[in-house]
Amino acid sequence: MSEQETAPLTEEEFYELIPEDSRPWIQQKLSGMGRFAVRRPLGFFGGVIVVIFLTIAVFSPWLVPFDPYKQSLGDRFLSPSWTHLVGTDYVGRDIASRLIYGARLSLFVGMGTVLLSGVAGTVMGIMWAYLGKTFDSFMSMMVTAGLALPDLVLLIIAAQIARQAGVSEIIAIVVTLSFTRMWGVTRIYRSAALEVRSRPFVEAAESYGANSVRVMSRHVLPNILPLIIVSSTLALPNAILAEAALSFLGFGPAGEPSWGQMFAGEAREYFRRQIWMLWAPGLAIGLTVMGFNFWGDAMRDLLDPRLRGTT
Amino acid sequence: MTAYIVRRAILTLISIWMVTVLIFLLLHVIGPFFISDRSLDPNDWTESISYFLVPEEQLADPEMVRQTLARAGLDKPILERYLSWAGNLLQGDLGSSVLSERPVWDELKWRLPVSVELGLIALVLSAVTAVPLGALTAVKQDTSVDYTVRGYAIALSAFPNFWIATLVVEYASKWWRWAPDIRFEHLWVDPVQHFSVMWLPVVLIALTPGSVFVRYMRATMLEVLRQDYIRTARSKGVVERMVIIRHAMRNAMIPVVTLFGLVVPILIAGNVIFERFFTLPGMGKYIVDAVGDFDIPVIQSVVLVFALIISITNFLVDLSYAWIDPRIRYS
Repeated sequence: MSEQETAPLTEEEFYELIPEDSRPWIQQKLSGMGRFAVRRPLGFFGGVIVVIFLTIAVFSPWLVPFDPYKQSLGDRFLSPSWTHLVGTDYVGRDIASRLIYGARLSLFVGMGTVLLSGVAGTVMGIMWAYLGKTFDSFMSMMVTAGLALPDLVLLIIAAQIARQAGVSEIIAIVVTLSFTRMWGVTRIYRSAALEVRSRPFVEAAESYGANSVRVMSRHVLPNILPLIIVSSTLALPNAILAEAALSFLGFGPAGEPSWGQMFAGEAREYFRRQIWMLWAPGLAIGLTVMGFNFWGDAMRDLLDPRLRGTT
Repeated sequence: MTAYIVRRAILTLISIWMVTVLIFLLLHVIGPFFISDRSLDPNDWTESISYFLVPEEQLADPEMVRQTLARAGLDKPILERYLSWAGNLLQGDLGSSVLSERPVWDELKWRLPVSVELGLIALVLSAVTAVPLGALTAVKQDTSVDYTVRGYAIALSAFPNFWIATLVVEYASKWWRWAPDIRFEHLWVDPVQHFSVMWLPVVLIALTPGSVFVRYMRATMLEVLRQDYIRTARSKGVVERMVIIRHAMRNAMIPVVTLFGLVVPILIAGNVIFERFFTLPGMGKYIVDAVGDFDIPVIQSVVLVFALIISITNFLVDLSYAWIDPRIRYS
């Protein structure tokens, strides 16, 4: 074989070799989704739930059929009908509307926690993998201490302080949850960053003089990004569950419709008359969490096959 | 190995100290700061604490307020408060509740055994049932057994256990007119009554760690079953049951050990939720009530006890893992 025959293709030549898909854009996307649905039915199912949840949560003020806060004692315990899709609760509030507002709260807590703890965890994890010995022992102390925190208890304390102080309980919940969750995330990202750091291309970058900031942001970060996306997707439902537990205990955001609070407290005395007060929020929590978990598992297999089956 | 143990022990001690600083900051600085209209003056913070500790009818009387705060040592400067708390802790004195004036230690003596019992039995129960089930799903991969067990495990990790508890209590009373027994007796007073109260919370707390164990055990077991030594064992004619039990499960269980550290916070959360749900006199109920009353000495002691339990388990998990897998010791 001569040199000419195996000469590497330029980038344009390479892309010209790929047959162009002449189908319209929408059809391409649909067939892509169809393939995904056939290959990973659970992941597809999860994705559908996630999309429905996001839509409901984002557009909740326009989607609610009734005011979720408005009590009307004449309409207590109405059965599900076309007007009240899942009936009304013990003070005559529309359960469907409260579910929709609960989705908004769950999304806010979930997203806020994932973003805050994700950013903090990424920065600390990569720096931990990079900076010297002093920082290393400092970080292992911090992480060991952070992992020893009882999260639900701290959440109760923070929510109670916020309620007494008249500060937004939702913000307090997000901050506290992020604070307790970010240490585990940091540890995961650090070991991933260490692994990336030992690969040849990082050594190459370092050898031509790239400084550590550049190596961290341009080489290490992009390579652990799939892991970050996957672990964030799987962390979001955990935050939703934590908020539900807090609200169930009666320390959630006061007055806000929350899934965990809808079947707690006073409502428990009235399940005989309106069983949907129990079923509707529970199914909402369970299906949402399950949807995110399935979707996250499918994403993990697509983005980083090495992690397959690790949870 | 000794060097490793010493290093981990020092790390654990320092981290426990950091946890005390954190709790103290949260309760004496951050909390009062927000409650007192964001004043930067620590004296105002002390004032703000009094609104939660002092019964309402006494608030008008400055002398009463001062006495209540003094009793809990909350009238001193912040640093002095921390040092006296830490000093008393080192001498084994956890302080007293501001409201009931009962020493925290007296309460813990009765409450800690309840919570530890709940957590330990739930842990053992979930491990004993879920680890073999997880192994089973791996051996019977992609059969109906696999799908059924995994389905339950996935559902149990998605549907919150307190919702399942509410469901169980509601339908049990509706269908069989059965209500959970809540007349609590200590184990050493009336064991039969004790367990007739405790069994349901234990089972409910065990659900979440159980689902974690099943999924994790399945994953590690699948990995182990693909290893060369399993093929070797099979090819030299070892009975399949022995291959699974002696060669595969034993090795697959090693990484599961690390899960114990992860599961302890879940068990504590379970304690907090179900001790309140079934009104059991444990640590969880103690702290929930104390947070409601803003009873600072109780809150900080109980959080510290929880943090101690978690960090000691983490320490033991690290040690056992390093003992099983020598590569860890040298990293």
